[in-house]
Amino acid sequence: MNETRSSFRDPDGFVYAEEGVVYRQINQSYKINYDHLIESGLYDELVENDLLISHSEVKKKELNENAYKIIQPEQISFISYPYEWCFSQLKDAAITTLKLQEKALEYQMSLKDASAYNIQFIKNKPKLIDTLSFELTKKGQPWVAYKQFCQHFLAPLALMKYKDARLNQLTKAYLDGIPLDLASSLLPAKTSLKYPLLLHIHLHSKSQKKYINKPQKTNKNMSMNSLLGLIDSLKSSIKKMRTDSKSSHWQQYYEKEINYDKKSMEEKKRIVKYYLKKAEPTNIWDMGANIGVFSRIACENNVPTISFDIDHSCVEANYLRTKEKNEKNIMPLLLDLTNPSPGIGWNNQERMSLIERGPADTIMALALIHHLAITNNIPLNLLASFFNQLCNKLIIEYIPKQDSNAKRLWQSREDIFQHYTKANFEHEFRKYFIIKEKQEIKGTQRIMYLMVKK
Amino acid sequence: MKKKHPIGITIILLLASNTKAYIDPGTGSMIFQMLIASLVGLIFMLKLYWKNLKNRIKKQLNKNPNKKKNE
Repeated sequence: MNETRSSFRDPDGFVYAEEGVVYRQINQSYKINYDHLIESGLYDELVENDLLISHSEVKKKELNENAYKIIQPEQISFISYPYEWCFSQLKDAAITTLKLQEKALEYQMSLKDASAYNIQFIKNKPKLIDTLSFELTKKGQPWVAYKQFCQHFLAPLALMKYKDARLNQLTKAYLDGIPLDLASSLLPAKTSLKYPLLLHIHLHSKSQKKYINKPQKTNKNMSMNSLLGLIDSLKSSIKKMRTDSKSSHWQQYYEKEINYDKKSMEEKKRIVKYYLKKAEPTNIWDMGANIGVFSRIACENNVPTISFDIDHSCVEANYLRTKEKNEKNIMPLLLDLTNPSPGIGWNNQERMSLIERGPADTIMALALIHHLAITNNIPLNLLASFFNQLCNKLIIEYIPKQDSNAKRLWQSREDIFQHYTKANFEHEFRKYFIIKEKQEIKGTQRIMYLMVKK
Repeated sequence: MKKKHPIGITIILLLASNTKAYIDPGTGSMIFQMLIASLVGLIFMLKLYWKNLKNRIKKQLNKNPNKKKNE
């Protein structure tokens, strides 16, 4: 039995894994809340509306004397974190959380936490995965998770929208969301003219400062109408937030920068399709996926595909497309491969590193290797061992130094890349992989490989 | 959306237990909600009334052309 290292804060239960299956123990302390969640019909309504993960109660030996029930939730193949989401993913997760709170209030329940880590994208839909997040409302009590919601959702969304989309990386530094005083000081002054941001960030942060360590006054109550008003105010302000339509250099890559003529591009797609057929992947990570052109080929046969890219606007465009086309098997995520998501939180174990969440069955690394080897000076031997850790099968494109795109990366620098040759590339990758297929993309100097781990 | 509570109803299930939250709700955040309670509540009510009024007008406008056709 492995207790999950991220579910220790809530005393009402915990998540654990047994033989690869994830279970959740519900403690006696949560009995009254769990029974109400199920018997009131709230659980059914939330599951039906794709807001909450489904589960079944299972008869298993309780792990300790506190146990009330053991449930087996719908299994999630890949856990992603808010610092890996683009603006619209965080926005959708925020709206899901507010919809959950609205529904819960209808059934005399309320969310006792509003952590962004409690939301996961399952078949590209954000759902609450923490079944223990609901508690019976207490008369007149304000929303206990209001502060957490503002820190986990509203503050990063406002910073991404009104300052810079890259500021979502602050959520990596602040595990319990971006402190509101920090968000307030970073946001442009004009945001004080926007009523919801003035209220929920600027004035809220001032209130936090004023009442810090002061005993709470309890003579005032919060009516249901005010609670619904609070949620409505947050929801309508978040719904109005949209990303700018400005596209980045990388987003235009396939329109302007691409180093293939139409024929070569078709040839590359043909080779990728052929390699995928040979690899028979059970899941795919497409590294450096840009807006997901090849991820879409990868997931044609309903293979779950994660479409990683370093550029926020690419991930945003990719995600919006998955929504528009109702694509359920592609999950776009933000990732800097030279600094992949680390293990963070308590004991460095609360949120898993990228490597811990692997290996993937198949990795696609197309038009990527020259950026890592040349722009970032990562030696080929380290690249080969990195991919060896992360996958069983590898579809990789080698781009020689003479390629015009690769040339641009080293031409204005000292040429320290003598080792970057096709022979060295094959030599280093052969240490870990068997080269099953190798084809040159006609009309280019680029070579596509299909490799299988030794 | 199914409406389980009409507008303005403020009945909340009263629990005997008065347990505290397991996360820190923040004193300032709890007090702040109480301070803005009337404001957000009022705006919410006005929005609902406005929505209802718009729906009624829409319904009325949709009814009239049918009446004329039947006549």
